[in-house]
Amino acid sequence: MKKNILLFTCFIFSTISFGQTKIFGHLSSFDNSVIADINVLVHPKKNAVKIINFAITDSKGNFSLEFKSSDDTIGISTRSLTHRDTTIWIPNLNQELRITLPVHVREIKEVQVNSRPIIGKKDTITYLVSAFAQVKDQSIGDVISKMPGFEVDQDGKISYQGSPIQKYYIEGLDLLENRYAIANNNLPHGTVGSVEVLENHQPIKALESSVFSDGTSLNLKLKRNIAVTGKAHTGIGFPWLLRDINITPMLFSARQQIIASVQSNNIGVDLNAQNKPLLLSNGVLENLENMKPELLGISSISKPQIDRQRYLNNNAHLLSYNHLVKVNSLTELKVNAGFYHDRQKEAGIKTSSYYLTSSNYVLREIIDNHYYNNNLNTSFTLTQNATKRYLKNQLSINRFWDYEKGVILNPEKKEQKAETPHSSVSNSFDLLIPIRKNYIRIYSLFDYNNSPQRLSFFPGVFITELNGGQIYPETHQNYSQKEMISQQYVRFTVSQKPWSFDTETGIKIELQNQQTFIEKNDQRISVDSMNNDNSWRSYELYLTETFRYEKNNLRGGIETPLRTLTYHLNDKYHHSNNSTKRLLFSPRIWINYDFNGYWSGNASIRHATNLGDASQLTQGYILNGYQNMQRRSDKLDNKQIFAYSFGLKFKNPVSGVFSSISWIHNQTTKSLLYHNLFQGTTGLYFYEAVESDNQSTSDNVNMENSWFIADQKITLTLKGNYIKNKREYLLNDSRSWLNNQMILIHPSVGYNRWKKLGLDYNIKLSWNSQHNIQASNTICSQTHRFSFHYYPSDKHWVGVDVEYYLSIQKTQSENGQFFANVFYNFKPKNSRLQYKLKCTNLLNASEIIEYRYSDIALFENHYNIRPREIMFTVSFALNR
Amino acid sequence: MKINHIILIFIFWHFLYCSIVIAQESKSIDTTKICCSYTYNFFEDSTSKYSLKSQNMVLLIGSNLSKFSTLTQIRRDLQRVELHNSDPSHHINELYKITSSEPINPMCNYIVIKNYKAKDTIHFVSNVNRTSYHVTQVEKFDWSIVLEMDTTILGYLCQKATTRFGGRDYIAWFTTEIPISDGPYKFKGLPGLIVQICDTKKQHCFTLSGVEKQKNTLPIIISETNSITTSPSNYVKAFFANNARILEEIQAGVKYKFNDEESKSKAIQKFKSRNSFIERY
Repeated sequence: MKKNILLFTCFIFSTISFGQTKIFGHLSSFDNSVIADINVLVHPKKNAVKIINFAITDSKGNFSLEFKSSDDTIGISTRSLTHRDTTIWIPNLNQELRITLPVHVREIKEVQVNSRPIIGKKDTITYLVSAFAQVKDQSIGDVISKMPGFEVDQDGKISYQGSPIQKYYIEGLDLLENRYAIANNNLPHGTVGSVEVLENHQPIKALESSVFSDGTSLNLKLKRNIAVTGKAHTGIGFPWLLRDINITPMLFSARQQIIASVQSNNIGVDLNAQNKPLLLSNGVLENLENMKPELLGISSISKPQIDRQRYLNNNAHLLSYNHLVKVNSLTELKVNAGFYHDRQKEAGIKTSSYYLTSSNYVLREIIDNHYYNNNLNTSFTLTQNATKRYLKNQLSINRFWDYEKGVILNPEKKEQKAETPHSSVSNSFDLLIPIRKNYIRIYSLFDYNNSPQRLSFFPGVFITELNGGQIYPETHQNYSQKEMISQQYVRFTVSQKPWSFDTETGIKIELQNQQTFIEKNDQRISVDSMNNDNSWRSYELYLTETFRYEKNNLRGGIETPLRTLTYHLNDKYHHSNNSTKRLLFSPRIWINYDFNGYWSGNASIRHATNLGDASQLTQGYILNGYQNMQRRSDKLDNKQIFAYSFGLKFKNPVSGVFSSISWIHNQTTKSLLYHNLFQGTTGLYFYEAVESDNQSTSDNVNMENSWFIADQKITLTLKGNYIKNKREYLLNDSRSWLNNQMILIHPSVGYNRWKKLGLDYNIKLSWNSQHNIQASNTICSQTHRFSFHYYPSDKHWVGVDVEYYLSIQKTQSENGQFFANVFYNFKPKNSRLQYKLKCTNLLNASEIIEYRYSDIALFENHYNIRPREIMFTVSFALNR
Repeated sequence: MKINHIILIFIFWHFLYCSIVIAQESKSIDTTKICCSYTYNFFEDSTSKYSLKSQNMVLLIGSNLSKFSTLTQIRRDLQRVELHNSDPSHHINELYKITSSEPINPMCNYIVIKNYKAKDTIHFVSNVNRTSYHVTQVEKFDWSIVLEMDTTILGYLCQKATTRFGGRDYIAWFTTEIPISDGPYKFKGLPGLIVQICDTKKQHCFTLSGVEKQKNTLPIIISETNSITTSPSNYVKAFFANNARILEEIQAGVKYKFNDEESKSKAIQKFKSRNSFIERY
């Protein structure tokens, strides 16, 4: 042991030093081992961390140091892998040192930097899933929603830097198109290695190098090339017989992709979100041919702004099958089919205060509604996406058998029933062929829709207007609409870098028939003013020239669509113009500029002239509810829109900062104004279109900021929205302006630094105000959500979600509501099974109170929510 | 995308050819004790903000020497030893897989050997146009330690030091917690491992991304080739001369074929803009 004791001897040749100190030294070792390459450091007084100067010993162990220091004492230390670190404190004098060091093998501290969580390279930003995933997360959607720059809404729609994404690819294949929620909700995040954001992504390969796109697409990169994965869980609970079943196997290979799903629950999980197509893609409405028009419906209460699962009283089943096969390297065949069945209940109390010049009319309704939804959708798609050709043909068939009924007490009992079936068949064909550097594109769409809908009231309504003041048992409103739409266009693209020019010429033909009539006790009312039977043909011929410019950091374009629109109308009951012909011009200019790799800006300006749809030419009254009736005029609404927008985006993937701000201004002039005629004595409400030019303006400022601090695992986001709009309206013959303002602030923080604890807190504050001649209203609401997850070990974890919602309207009392969920999860080691026990609405809150307003009334809604429920769920991991 | 691909492929064939034809013999000269990973971020074009490139580099520290090169090179060396006796086509295939996973940018296609015994002597080997250049230089770095600056990088307590080398001023952060007087590229001579080193214009930056003690045997391999011995400045000249040669060949349009004029002009632009080697003379 004695050997290990440090020995040192100092031979001091004291000399007068002038600030410059010279030290010669020799290192030796107890075991006479090599003493070369040892670092000798000089430290200032009392600080063994800082280094004034250094030397490295030669092969004999000699070193020499020269330094300047005003300290009276200095430190000399040795550092090496072979000998013990040694520090001695000596007077700051020229001297010769001899130090003998004990042998000691140093253990160096190993480190490994995790790969950066976000990697940016040109137009692709890669997010590593493992850096964002937490133990509590199940699906890839849970993880994506936490990635900075992303937002996932309740319907499953993903937005990136404020705009909805364009495509959702899995391993580069577009299996689901805009029904991607089923993958996003069910694909376990463990299967996914990274999420790629493809900015300025052109989905058509043939156009990739010549026609730019502003759209952002998302691609999931799986960990393995061939993956069998998915989700399977089954849960039971009480009160009632609660169930939650979800079996969603998935297969991803180079040749084919399959997602199949069987789901059934009555615990408030909205399965329609995984079934219905998301309409917004890259800011453009798409897939409208698969949508169902809501012509009629029973009176309902507007849905509260809390988490949907807290109030949705459902009994839903979903079957879905999606299969993509790559026939060869170019050709893909795809089948998507879904069947959705749901029975939903909705109950609550709605108090409406209608603004009248003299006094307010207050109506209190106790509402109990049932909705039966059945929907079958199928589509068959053939795609060839190659540099030499793009071809896509899609056949879609949709059928809805929807039925809803409700009871209203106000205080008399009123029953309503609506049958709202709809069927549609559509086929779209899209072919693009490059000819040298130019392209020709041929597009053709056929769409057939039929919606024979009917709304019934028991007892009969509008007794004065329909039955001479006598009470009668029933009224039926029939409304059927049939349409056949065809659209064809040819587009030539000439690409001459940096320019590309599009010439598109097309024709859109619509054949429609619309019939409405009212039946009183199964007897059709023959009065013309209660009937509509319009058939029309419309032809739209258009020519659009588009100029695009793309060079370095600048991209821009001008679009000049010129349309001629012709309607030929045959109105059986009312006097109408038989034909209308209009020339419409809607130019648009847009520009994008990348200031550097971080900042980019965009601006656009457009002017549009639109002519309303001929389906608005219903001059006969239509019953929309037991107290409203509406009719329109024989004129088509002539709309002039002037709009401009500015946007600024910042992204720094390295530091994890993503920000965007945008401002959109809209100015609209319309030729039709809707007249609200409200009878204060009876509560009846008529709605009529009146020919009168009217104006509206709106401004919308939106900002989103998120910052992911990787080493602290903190995600900070701040979203804000300011909307101001102003428009003219007509209530009971008095015309005035209606001003609305809305401010929304939405900050949130997620903290996951500690391995055993996860914290998330988010707040939504909104302030809405409305001013018009009759009333001025302000409604404020606050939502606070806090979630806490504790992971004591890999096997167990517990969590609490607390939500507080408050809606304030100044004349009413404040109504805050607390909700809490608690859960416990158990996952045995090396097991594919996982068990979860969850109690929702722990405090057993029974309703939520919310204030809303419309143009003519203020509403106080009491919406019944789901009671306290306890669920036990077993999940099975399908991935290997 | 396509154009990058073309460039990558011909750059790749160029290197592959070099490695197969020139590097006949590989031998192990030491065994790795500590493996340090660095990320090398550099601008190919000193005038363009958009020319930032990134390459994973590795410093293998043995008992007597260290070797610094790209991660791809290290993996290829190992592969070459492993597949020494295998079928050449299989060999090429495997090498292709490695190279294509992270192609080597010509700006970092070199190895640097520092022999701890022969102090201050640095060996630099690089292939340019099928010729192997060998630079041996004695470089005693003149480091000035900046006393008042310290920081923690990757959990290591680091101190700042500055030096001038190869026409650029550098700021380095080193840690005495790893008492090895070594660092990325040719840099060494501080009383501890260099954790980060950047030139003052931030054109060339090496940042430590991992330190791992080597438990399994990882040989430090060099290839014995016939090489031209030259000076550091002449190597840089040869590098740019070769770049200019490829540029001419592209412009002549005989050796390299492009789908269209645009890809060609992009390739020309790419080679023209490659003007910022780490050393400047």
